[in-house]
Order: sequence, then C-alpha cells, then structure tokens
Amino acid sequence: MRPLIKWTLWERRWSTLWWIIGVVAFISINMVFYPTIRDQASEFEKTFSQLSEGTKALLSDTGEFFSPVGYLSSQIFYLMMPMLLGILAIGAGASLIGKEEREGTIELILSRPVPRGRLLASKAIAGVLILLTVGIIGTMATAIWGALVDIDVGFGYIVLAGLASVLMALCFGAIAFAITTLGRGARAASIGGAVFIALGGYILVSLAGSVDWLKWPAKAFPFDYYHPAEILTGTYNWANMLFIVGVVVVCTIISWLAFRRRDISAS
Amino acid sequence: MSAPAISASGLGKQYADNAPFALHKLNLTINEGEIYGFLGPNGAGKTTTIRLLLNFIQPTTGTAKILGRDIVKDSVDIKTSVGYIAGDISLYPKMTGQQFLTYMAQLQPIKKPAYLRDLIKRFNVNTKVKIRDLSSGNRQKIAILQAFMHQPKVLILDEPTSGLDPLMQEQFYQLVKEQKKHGACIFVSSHNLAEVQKMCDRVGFIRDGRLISEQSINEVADTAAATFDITFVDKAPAAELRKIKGAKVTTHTPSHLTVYLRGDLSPLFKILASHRVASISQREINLEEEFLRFYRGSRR
Repeated sequence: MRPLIKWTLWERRWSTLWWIIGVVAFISINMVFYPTIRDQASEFEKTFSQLSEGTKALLSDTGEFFSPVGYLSSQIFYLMMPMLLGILAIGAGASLIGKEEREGTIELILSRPVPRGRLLASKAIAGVLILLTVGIIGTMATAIWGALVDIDVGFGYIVLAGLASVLMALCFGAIAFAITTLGRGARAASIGGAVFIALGGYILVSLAGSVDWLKWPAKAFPFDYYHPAEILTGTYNWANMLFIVGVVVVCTIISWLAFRRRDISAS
Repeated sequence: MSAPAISASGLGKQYADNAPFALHKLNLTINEGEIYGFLGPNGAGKTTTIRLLLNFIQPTTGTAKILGRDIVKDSVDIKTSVGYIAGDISLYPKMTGQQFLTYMAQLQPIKKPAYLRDLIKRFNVNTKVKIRDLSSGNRQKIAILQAFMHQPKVLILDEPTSGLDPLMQEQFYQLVKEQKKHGACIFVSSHNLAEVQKMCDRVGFIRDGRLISEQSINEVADTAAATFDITFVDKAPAAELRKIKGAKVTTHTPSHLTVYLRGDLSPLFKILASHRVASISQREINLEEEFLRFYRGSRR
C-alpha cells in the first residue's frame, strides 16, 4: 500500500503546493481586511441590512458578518473553505482512480500482485492526506491571521471549524470518487454529480432559511448539517457530523463494491 | 505432469447484453517453455483475450487458468508470476525511467537486482531521463524492462517490439529465447511474420472473436506465400514467370514486376538465373494476410 500512496503523493506534490499557496492567499486576503471592516462595521451593517434574508443566507449561516465569529464564518468557514477544499477534493476524487484508468496506467498496477481493494484504499488515503494537508495549513493560516488581527475566537474552535470544513470537502470528494469507480460512463458524470451536491446543496440549504418548503429537501444535502458559526461558538451539535461521515462511509462502500469486480476500461 | 502455463476453456466475453461476443468460447492450452503467437486483425479479440487473462475484465462465459490457478479467483496470486506489456503502453510521463522501475519493483519485488541492471545495459536505456522526454522506442524499452525484470514464469506481451529499432528487436528476441530456456511461457500478440517466425513455436489465429486455427510455425511458413519485387536489366519475362505453378505476377513497368508465390521457390530462381536481374527484394510476409487469404478461401 505504501508505494501506491507514496507515488500518488509524489505525482501530485506540485499541484498540492499550489493549492496550499492559493488557499493561504485567499485566507490572507480575507483576514487582512478584518480590522478595517470591524472599524467601519456600523456603516457596513446599514448596507447589509438592506439585503434580503435569502441573500444574507447565501453569505453566512448566521446572518451576521462583522462580529469575530460572524466574520470568520461568513468569510472563511461557511463558504470559502468548504468550496475551495471541495474543488480540490472533487478533482482528486474524480482523478485518483479515473486518471490512471483514462491513461491506461492502471493496467501497470493491476498487472502486478495488487488487489483492487488495496489500490482503491491507497488512492483514497492519498486523497485524504492531500486534503488534510491543504486543510490543516489553511486552518493554521486562519488561526495565525486571527491572532494577528485580534479576532476573538478560541484557537481550538478555529481548528474544529477547519476540520469540519475538511470533512465537508471530503464528503464531496468521496461522492466524486464513488461515481468514478462505477465505470467509464459514470466517470464523466463524477465531477458534475459531486458539484451538484456541493453547490446545489449550498444554495438549497441557504434558501431553506427563508423558503419553508425547501426545508425537507435540504435535509438530503450535507450542507444542511454544517454550521460553522455554531462550531466557532462551541454550541454545535456534533451529532450533525454523523450525516457527513455517513455519506463518506456509504461512498467508500459503494466504491469498493463497484470497483472490485468491474471491467477496467481500455485506455 | 504439471498444469499448462495458460489454459482456457470456453472463455468468452460479451461487453453488453445485446452486443456480439468479443471473444467466443476460446479453448487454449499453452505449455511451460512454449512461445505462442496470437494473431488476428484489429478487433478480432486479441486484446480482449489478454485483458481477460489478466483479469482487467470479467469473463462472461468459461474459465481460464494461469499456472493452474483461476484467473478470476486467484488473480492477485497469479500476478506474482506474470509479466505484461500492453499494446500502446502508457507509462507515467512525469517519472524518470529509474523512478518508474523503482515503483514497479516496489509493487512486485524483483528477485535479482543485478538482472535488472543487466537488462538496462543490454537495452541501452537511459533511466535518468523523464519518460515524457523519451522517444517511443525508448519508452517501449522501459515497458520491456518492467515486464521482464522480475523474471516471471508467464509473459503476456501485446505488440512488444512496437517502435524498437532492428538492433533492439534482435536483443528482445534473444531475451525471449533466454526466458523460454528457463521454462517461461510467452503469449505474444503480433502482426509481424518475421517476428513471429523468430520467436514463436505455435501460432493461433483469431477472427471475429473465434480462434480459427492453431498451427506450428513451420506449418505456417510452409503455406505462406512469398512476395518478390524484381527489376530486370532488360524486359521482364512476365509471361514466363506466370507459367510457374501458384505464381501471381503484377507488372509495374516493362522491367519491374512483383511475383507472389506460394510453396516451392526453385522454379522462380531457375527463370531468374537465365535473365539479367538488376535488383530483387523480398517483402515482409504478413502472416495475418496469409491466414485471412487461407481462411477466406476455405469458407467459400
């Protein structure tokens, strides 16, 4: 298993580095303006108060933007981190097995005594490690910037919010990974399917706050169980995370069942 | 008596419910120390057979065994003893040859590192260059190395000399002979008669997913037609050549013609001996054409 993980990470080392640079840059841009925004909060409040509830819900899970928790949640953890990490995870999920199969290199691996389950597990672990690396560094960057610009939120809560956003992204990546393992036809749909669940879920869940009939369908999407502002204030019910973990587990089982016996496409 | 190195019984593959069988009830037995050529036109079922044997795809019907073990149930165990070169092989372009071979050796440990060093030397491979910067011939050399480096008992090779220069092709044939001497079974798909003649003990021809015939290579060569391009100093004796039994003659210019001849060649050379020949060359015989010609004839 180790060589498969090692060479997968090696192949993606430069793209991972660029992801780290990109995520840290995004976080820095958002965090560096906090003191200015905090100082002019009352003027911003006036402008934001004119926004509809639906628009506010798309930007934040609290409707509050200028308190320390409101700012961290709306600018970093509600949308940006899960979406950036989600793009990374969906890309990796769709390509970790998919690229090897598309380019025919999977035959080199499977012509050796490597069980399909081991290949699948190795690729999944490599993907999780990449996501964790980018997510942890992003979270650390947020915490460091938080200290630098005097955001009054505990370090532990920031770390937990960061890990929760990694888990959200992992959920989207697992969906893409599972769809890819179904075969050539499904491979093309993996990115679209995962993006629909990520982005569609985000829009649906955000609008469900102001549109009553969307509340039930919203419950089918992982975003409904993700409340970073509550994590940052220590009031989050962690049982919600079971849904997200459950999606990851189900996707993993689907991947294994689908991949262990299916035909590998010719390159 | 030991089990055959490769055996198939009623092995078949249908890719979709209503699609025709890409491979239909293949029965095959290849022994240890035997080199078996597998020939057929594009889409005949050669690659499907290879992909079934390696368990990349699942059989719809029948079974097959490699070294006495089932290709589906014991697929992982089997691969400890198998080397494989894919037709139109894909390697990892970002890796150097050395990194790639290290990776492959980590997935399937090699018995003698010295043997790999010897192979690298014999094939004159620069393993320090990134694979994307290598020519197709050099990439093919790396593909050969990864298949042979762990000295497998069974080698499954799809167009193994594709892109190799003649010198390296000879080196490859030599390598194959050495493996055969050590008892390895080699299953090779190729289009080239000269290559098959040099390497194989037996040939199977597949068409439309069915194994049509199996013959020893000597039987095939005896029935194959030879094609000669001949230029005469004076006018070509076309009428005389057409009288040879089994000969077909195509005239290109008054002094240049092509003779297509099956069987005994001595009547041709008797005629040529009595004329002034400027040049003569023999075209490579295409074994598939020979088979196709033969079997088209036998179907009528």
